[in-house]
Amino acid sequence: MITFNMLVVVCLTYVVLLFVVAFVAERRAAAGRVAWLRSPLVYTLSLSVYCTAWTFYGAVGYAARSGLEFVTIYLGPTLVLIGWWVVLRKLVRIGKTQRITSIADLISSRYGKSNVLGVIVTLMAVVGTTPYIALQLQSVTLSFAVFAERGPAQWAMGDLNATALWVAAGLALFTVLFGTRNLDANERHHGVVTAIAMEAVVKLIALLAVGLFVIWGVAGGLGEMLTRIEASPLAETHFNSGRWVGLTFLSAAAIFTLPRMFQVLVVENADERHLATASWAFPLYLFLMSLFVVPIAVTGLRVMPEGANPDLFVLTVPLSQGQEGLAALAFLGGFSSATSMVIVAAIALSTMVSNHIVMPLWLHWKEAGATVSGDVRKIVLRARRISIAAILVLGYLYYRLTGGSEVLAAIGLVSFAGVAQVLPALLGGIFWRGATRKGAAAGLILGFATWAYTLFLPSFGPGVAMSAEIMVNGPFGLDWLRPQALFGVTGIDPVVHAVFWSITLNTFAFFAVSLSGFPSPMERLQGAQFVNVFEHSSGARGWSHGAAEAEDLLMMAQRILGSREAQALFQRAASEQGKAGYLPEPTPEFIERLERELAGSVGAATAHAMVGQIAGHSSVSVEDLMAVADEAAQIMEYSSQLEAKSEELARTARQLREANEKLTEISEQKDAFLSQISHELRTPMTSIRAFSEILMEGAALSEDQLTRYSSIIYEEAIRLTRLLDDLLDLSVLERGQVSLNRQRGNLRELLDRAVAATGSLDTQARMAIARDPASEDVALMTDTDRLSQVFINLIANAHKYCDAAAPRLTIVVRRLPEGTAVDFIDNGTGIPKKSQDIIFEKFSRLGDHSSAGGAGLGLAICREIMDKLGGSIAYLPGQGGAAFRVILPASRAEAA
Amino acid sequence: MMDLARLLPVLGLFAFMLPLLGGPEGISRTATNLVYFFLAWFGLIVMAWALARRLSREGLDGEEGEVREGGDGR
Amino acid sequence: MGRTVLLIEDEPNIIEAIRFILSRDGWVVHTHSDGTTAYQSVLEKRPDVVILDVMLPGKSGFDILRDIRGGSETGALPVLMLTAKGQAKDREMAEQIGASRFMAKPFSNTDVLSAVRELAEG
Repeated sequence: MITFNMLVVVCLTYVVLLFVVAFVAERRAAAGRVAWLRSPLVYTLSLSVYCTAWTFYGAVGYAARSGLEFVTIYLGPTLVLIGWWVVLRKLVRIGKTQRITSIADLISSRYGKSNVLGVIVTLMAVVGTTPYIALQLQSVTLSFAVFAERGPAQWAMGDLNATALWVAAGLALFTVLFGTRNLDANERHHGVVTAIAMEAVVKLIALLAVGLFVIWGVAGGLGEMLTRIEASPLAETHFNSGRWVGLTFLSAAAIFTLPRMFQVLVVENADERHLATASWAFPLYLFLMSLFVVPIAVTGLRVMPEGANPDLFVLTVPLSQGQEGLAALAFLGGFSSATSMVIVAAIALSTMVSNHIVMPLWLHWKEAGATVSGDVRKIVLRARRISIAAILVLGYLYYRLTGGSEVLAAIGLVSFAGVAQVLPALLGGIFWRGATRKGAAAGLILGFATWAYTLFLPSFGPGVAMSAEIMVNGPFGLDWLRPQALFGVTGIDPVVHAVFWSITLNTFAFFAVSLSGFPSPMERLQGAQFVNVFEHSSGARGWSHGAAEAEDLLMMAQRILGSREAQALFQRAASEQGKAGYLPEPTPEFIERLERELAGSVGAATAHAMVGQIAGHSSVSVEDLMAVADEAAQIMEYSSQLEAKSEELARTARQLREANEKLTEISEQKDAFLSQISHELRTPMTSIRAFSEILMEGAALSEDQLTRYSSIIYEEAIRLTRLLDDLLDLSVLERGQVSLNRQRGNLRELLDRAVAATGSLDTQARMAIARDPASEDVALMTDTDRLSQVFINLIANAHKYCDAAAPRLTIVVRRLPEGTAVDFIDNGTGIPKKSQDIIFEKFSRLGDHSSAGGAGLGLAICREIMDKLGGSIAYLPGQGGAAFRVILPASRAEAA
Repeated sequence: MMDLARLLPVLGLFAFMLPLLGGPEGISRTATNLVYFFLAWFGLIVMAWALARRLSREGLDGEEGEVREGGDGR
Repeated sequence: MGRTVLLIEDEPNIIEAIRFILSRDGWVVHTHSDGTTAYQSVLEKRPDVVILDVMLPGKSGFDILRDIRGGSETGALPVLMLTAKGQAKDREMAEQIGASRFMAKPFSNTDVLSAVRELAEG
């Protein structure tokens, strides 16, 4: 027989153990040995603060009353966890990059660091959580009472109240000791988290032990258990679809909107990867927690006397079977569930209260600013400690006022529904950039008011917080405003009714107000950072340059972060800027970074306000806004700009390379020209000199010889003159000093003349010239002499260079959009690709042989002429031989 | 893989809401439902476990860019 | 028995001038204009002296000279090279390959005549 005193001893021992575990964890963390403290297992177990005494004891009671429905409280979180990739991952990432300290801070930070929103969410959280804390205190005292009733000394109700007070005081002490050791949200509460992980194990083992006992110890096996379920009042499940869906939704929302859940899930998260483990491990934990709920309920209904409180079956069933030890274990499980919830909730709420209510007030009173003396750090910590105590006192008072009533048992769902009001603003905030502060505030207030009116106030029972008159007939006799039948919708379960209306109105107001206004610049910046948290983690700049003195900033930072941390931070920033010492340049980037550091301690809104006192009003430049407005477009533009730039670079490099190749080749051509021109001049001169000498010698020459030799001298002199003429011609053309002699002409006549002029060259092989006279009948208004010079040159080139066995030149006239094209295509080997670029350069006669008569000036002259005539000449590749295209401009061609 | 991660909760929702459809006038045997729910639940946990393993191996930061919603910033 | 000269040159007027000068001095002058078949012609004509132009259609005079110096029967054949380019590097090139004499165009008739005589005797 376990005595009450023994139970107290066990309980105290357990509490001491908790303190020791927390203490050791803190010591290990301080020593830097955080490996297992930050393991995914500890993270997953810490999430079990979801399972409070309400679920530990209450689930069985719930099952005993309503059958399977209790399971919805676990199904919602399961769905959210296995869908972690969609919402939780984003929340955790945002929490890290923005150094979020609480759910109120998240909402406040998202909507332009608005403290109004922070205050609203904080108040909602306090209102929603305090009754819940009271519920925990009640469950602990009730479980004490179970043992006390069996003890020799009967406990009076007053003793139970004393128990509640002691429990509350003990929890306050623990929370203050381990929950307010540091300020920074990113320095985690290792002691608390570890203790909670241990409690998670205790409550799981306790519930599993009781479950195994009722199946194998009481029923005598699984089959028998199922038979007993079939025989029990719970044999049939009456699915209430509305409640089923509604409760699943509520519990799904609660898993990240409950302040304590947000605390362990987001704020205390040490590593994003832990979420991956928790995504299956936490549902598994919930699975195990609920596995034996129905068997325990069925057994309780069977073995316990009529009228026994089903909420205490977990304790009373083992006791009734004489399993004192098991009952004690179950007691510890319930105790663990209650304490861990209270501890984490107190930490989360105190952070909100101090950051969103106390600090702004303090800043307001100290208008002179954060630069005045005084350790902000101490003030913040003190504010948190006082908040913790105050919250527990509130919980205790609430328990005293409503304790023992049916009200408290229902408060779990009421609380869930209350904090779920944050959901639209939260999800809208992280997925929709158009969400505004006003929209969020409108949604929160309307949703919260609806919740209070339809669920919270009526939950106290008729005539307590709300008169029975209003409950039945509505306020002022307005029937359609009846709290549990809004707009005349009757016949729905009150909880579902309240959740439906509050969330609907909340969401509607949130969207409607958001859409009807524009987000402020700061909201846009923050909104972009939250919604696109995976794309960029860089901070938006909300600060203008130069307004703040680094020294003032350091003084302020020291008082919040502590002098060592602040100096380290400043020194690091200074050295990153390439400066020695502790004072970095107060660039917008640095101020932004500092603000984020401070936000980790006092919340975004307070940090923003404090920095604002020194740095002046934040300024959001037009450029910043533009950047936010269409960041996606910008990023894409930037990358395409980069691409274009690199393409441009590549193109320039290619052009340079080509130009260089061309230059090199031209330079080689120039060298070659010197020997070429030398050759072209010396060859005729050789003949001239030789025959002159012969003539001068006065040797006996026949008349024929005399005539012949003098005519050779004459011809070679002409040849020399022609060469010099070409050179002069080209230089005149190049300098643009040529005067064109435009006259009417016909393309066919010009070609006839050119073919005739080159006929004399046709010595060795007879070159066939293919033409289509009909197409050549084009009237021209141009310098016909110059144009035929070009044709002659091209035909002559074909004569000289076409190396086919049966040389053939095809002249094709085409009408093109840009004018009349005259193509000269021979059937030789053509001009190699590498030479095509330089053939129009001067002196670029290809090859190194002299069979060609000119000095390589012909094509260069042609090009100059065509330029002057407004047309063009180009090499036409891919024609099976050398091919040139002369284009006569259309206007000129048709001007005839 | 990412799509599967998004699909899993939908699958879970389907599994958990399915019994609402069945049974004459929404009444069914608790023992049967109990077994069904815990089996479905466990199946989901196993799938989530497999998925988490795959995702962790591929690297959490997954190259996928988060789909932008309502980016017009109205 | 007249001594023979093979003139490898593609300019008809220059061919005529050199033929006149040498014929008058009692030389038998064979001519050849195509670079590609020039060496073949050297082997066939078996001249006492070769006069070789540098710029020839089909094959450069330098290449022909290389063939001549490379051939066992023609290795020691006196070769007078003519060039219209007259650049120093052409002269160097010619000497390197083994031209017996090098002469730039335009040349003096007597110079050519005496050079051919010397080469034939030497």
